[in-house]
Parts: sequence; C-alpha cells; structure tokens
Amino acid sequence: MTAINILLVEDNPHDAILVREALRDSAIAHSLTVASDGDRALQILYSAEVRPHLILLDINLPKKSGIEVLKEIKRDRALCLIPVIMLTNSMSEDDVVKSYGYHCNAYVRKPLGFEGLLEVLSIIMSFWFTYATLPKQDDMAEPPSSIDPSLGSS
Amino acid sequence: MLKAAFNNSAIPQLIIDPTGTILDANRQACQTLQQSHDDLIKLNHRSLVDEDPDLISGLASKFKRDNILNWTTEQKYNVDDGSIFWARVSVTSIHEDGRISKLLLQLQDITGLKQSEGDIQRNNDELEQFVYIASHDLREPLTSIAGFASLLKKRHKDSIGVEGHHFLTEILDATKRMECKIDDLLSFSRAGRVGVIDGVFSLGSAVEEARRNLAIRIEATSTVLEIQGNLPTVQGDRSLIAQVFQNLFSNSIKYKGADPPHIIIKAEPCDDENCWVITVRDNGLGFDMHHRDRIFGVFQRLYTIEEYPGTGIGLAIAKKIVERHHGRIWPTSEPGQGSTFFFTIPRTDVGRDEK
Repeated sequence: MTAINILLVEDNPHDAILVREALRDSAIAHSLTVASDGDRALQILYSAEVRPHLILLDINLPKKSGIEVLKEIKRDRALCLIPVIMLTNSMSEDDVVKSYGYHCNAYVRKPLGFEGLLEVLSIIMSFWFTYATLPKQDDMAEPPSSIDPSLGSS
Repeated sequence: MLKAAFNNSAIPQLIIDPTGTILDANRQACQTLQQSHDDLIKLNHRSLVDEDPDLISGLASKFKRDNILNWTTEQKYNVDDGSIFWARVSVTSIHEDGRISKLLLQLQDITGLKQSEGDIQRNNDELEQFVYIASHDLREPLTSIAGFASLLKKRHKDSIGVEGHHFLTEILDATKRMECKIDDLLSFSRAGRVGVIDGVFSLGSAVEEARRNLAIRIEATSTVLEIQGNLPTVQGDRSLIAQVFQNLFSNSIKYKGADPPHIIIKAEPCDDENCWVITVRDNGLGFDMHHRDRIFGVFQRLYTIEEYPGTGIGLAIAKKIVERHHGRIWPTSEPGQGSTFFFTIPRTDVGRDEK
C-alpha cells in the first residue's frame, strides 16, 4: 500500500513530536513533513514535486496564520482539493467560523493526552480514506476561485 | 412668568415641535451647546445628536399610545467646539387640540458619569481580552504535558514501575482539571464579550433550553422543575439567560438534600425598576448566608473537590451574564433549608407586557 504524505504545519516542536509519535504508533503507512510556520508551509506546497495527500494545519502560527494559509490553499487551483484539517488549541468561535468559511475539511481541537491524539488521528485517517476513494472530480468546472465569503481580510 | 422660569433655569432646556425643529432654547442651553439663540432656533434637534433613536418619532407615538406625558432618555449632544455633552433628557409633551404640538426637553448633564462608565467598560474589555488570550495560551503547554506524560506511561510502562505509573496518573488527572478550569475561564470571558443583548424572547424558552441541556442529570436525579404562574417576555440574549438558569439548576441538582431536587421558577414584575425579578428556589442543602458574596467569585467553592467535583465558576458566570443585562443577582439561604436565587432582567417595554 502506498504511504500517505502528510504535511503538518505546527510551530510548537513538542506538539510536532507528539503527532509524529502518534502516527508511528498507528498502523498508518505515512511520510510526515513538518513546516514550522505558514510561509514555509506554502513554500513546500508550491515547490514540492510530490504534493501531500493531507494537511494538518495549526492556526496560531508565526508570520502567516493558519487561516491565511488555508485561504491560499483553497484559492489555488492545484492545491484546493487537498484535504485540510485544522488541528488547533483555539476554540474561538471566530476561528471556527473563518476556517469553515474558507473551506477547511474539518476543525479539530488538539486533544489532551496521547491516547486522545491517537484516536483523533485514526478518525482523520478514516475520513481521508473515504475522501480519497470518492470519484475524482476531474471535470470540476470551476475550482472555488472566489471563496472570500465576505469574512473580512484576515 | 413661565417664560422667565424657562429662560433663567440652570438646566438647559429646549422646546421643539414634533418634527424636531427647535422653537426655543433657554440661556443655559445656548451656553452648554455653545450656540447663539438665533443659530439654535434655525436647527433641527436631529443635527445636534449623532443618533436620534426614538426621541422624536418614537416618543411621539409612545406618548400617543400610552398617554404618557413625560419620558426620560439618554442622548449624546455634539457641542459646537467639538466636545460632547451627555444628557439625561426629560421629555414633556405639550398638547393642543388633542395632539402633541410641542415637546419640552430638559437636559441634565451626565457627561462625567458617561465618561467613567466608558473607562470602566474599556478596562473590562481589556481584562476580557486578556483572559481570552491567556486561556488559549495556557492550554498549549498543557497539551505537551499531557501528551508526553501519557506517552511515557504507554511506552515505558515496565521501567517506571507501579509507583511511577501512579504518579503519571496523578499528573494526567491534574492536566484534565486544568483543562476544565481553562475552558471555564474561556466561557467566563465569553459571557462578558457578547455584544448584543437587545433581543426579545420568552423566558420560558430559556428555561426550556436549560432543561434540555441538563436532561440526563434531571432524569437521573428525578428532579422536578416547576414553573409557577406565567413567565414573561423579556429583553436580552436568550442563550445567555438560558445559561444562567442552567447554572442555577445545575447547582440545585448537585447540592441536593435527601429528597430529589424540586426547583421552583417564577417571575414577578418589579415596578420601580422596569424589570422582572426571577426567582429560582430549591429544596437542597442550602448554605450559610455568611458566604453569600463568596459564592459568586471565580473558582470559589464551599465544599472540597472530593465532596463535590467542579471548578466553581457557575455562579460567577451567572452573575456576569445578569450584570451584562444591567440586572442584579442575589441569594437567600439557610443550611438545610434550600436556597433561593433572585435575579432581575429588563422588561421589554414598560406598560405593555403585563400578563
């Protein structure tokens, strides 16, 4: 079975280690790339020969926030179909509304404890498998190019 | 003689017609608004204020409908030099031939009061913002502590021994308690951050929402919720007031006596303050009135966490919500005699929703 390429955008190195370890403990064949801020994440996305299959995106990031990264991904014709899961400590209503407004595929609060993280990742993966086996939408006429759902500038 | 009393009064006074055109202004009004009498009587009252929500049109219809001759409202006036004059405006209608011909406006200076209100609001806003950010930032290291502690427990079970295992469990329990406190702080700050509280809703629907949210505990404890009389329509934010009921009911269920909880809810008008007094009475443990202020503090509790789990923020949130609605909340209680909580909430419109 082919490995899933996962891009984790996370500035907190401890949280990055925990996700890495949780993926290692899970039965999922994967390869993990970590970007420690929003700019680096976009750099990787625009330049990578192999695009990630799944993006785990923190919101509170230095330089470019996760919401802005999400906005750029979903605006980009080549990137917009990659599922993006917000994985964050923030429970701010504003963040939840904006994330879904800019078409994140799910919004997940970082769980407390390793077992919780394992559980969340396994749910995310089963979501991904469902998503990946959906009929490919090659004939999708217009990717969402104008997705500013009047949510303000940030 | 009346003309002289009008002119010489130390209170700024204006006479306007029902369309807002200024017909006359006394000396004090000219001085306060820094305009000459001749200039003032060319103006419409609307041009002196930023917003004129109901001073002219709304009030005129109110006068007509309820036959009220006098009404008080607060209004922000722009003074000619660019400063601001806040007034509590007492409006008296002058009737001729059965219709309103003129309105007498008496402007009581409340600028100082408004400014200190603004300062307090700004301080509160900053504090809310701080709590909000802190509650988010505090959770971040917590996920690391909990994550690595549980990773240690999982991967190194054999080398840390039974005691080490026990200690890690303690650490993990503590992180969970901390998470609850952080979440409570967040809801506490949220309760104060909600902007608009001018909705109109039936109090019964708020009670119903609270009942739904507690349905499982209500059933498990055979709690009876009894509404006495009719509950009115009130002004405010429905889900916030539902939260107040929920926190009060939740305490009644948690601190129950020997019998199943029996909670009585009723509303009574309170004439002099244009509000309703809501009563929530239970047959629970009650408490010593000595603690009546302490119970509304953040993370304050009268019992140990082993006796009654919880973070102790429920009443602090209830108080904050009630105060956000310009109301008050207070208890009466006695150990073993149950507790009664009272809170006030604004009536939608004076003289209309009597039931």
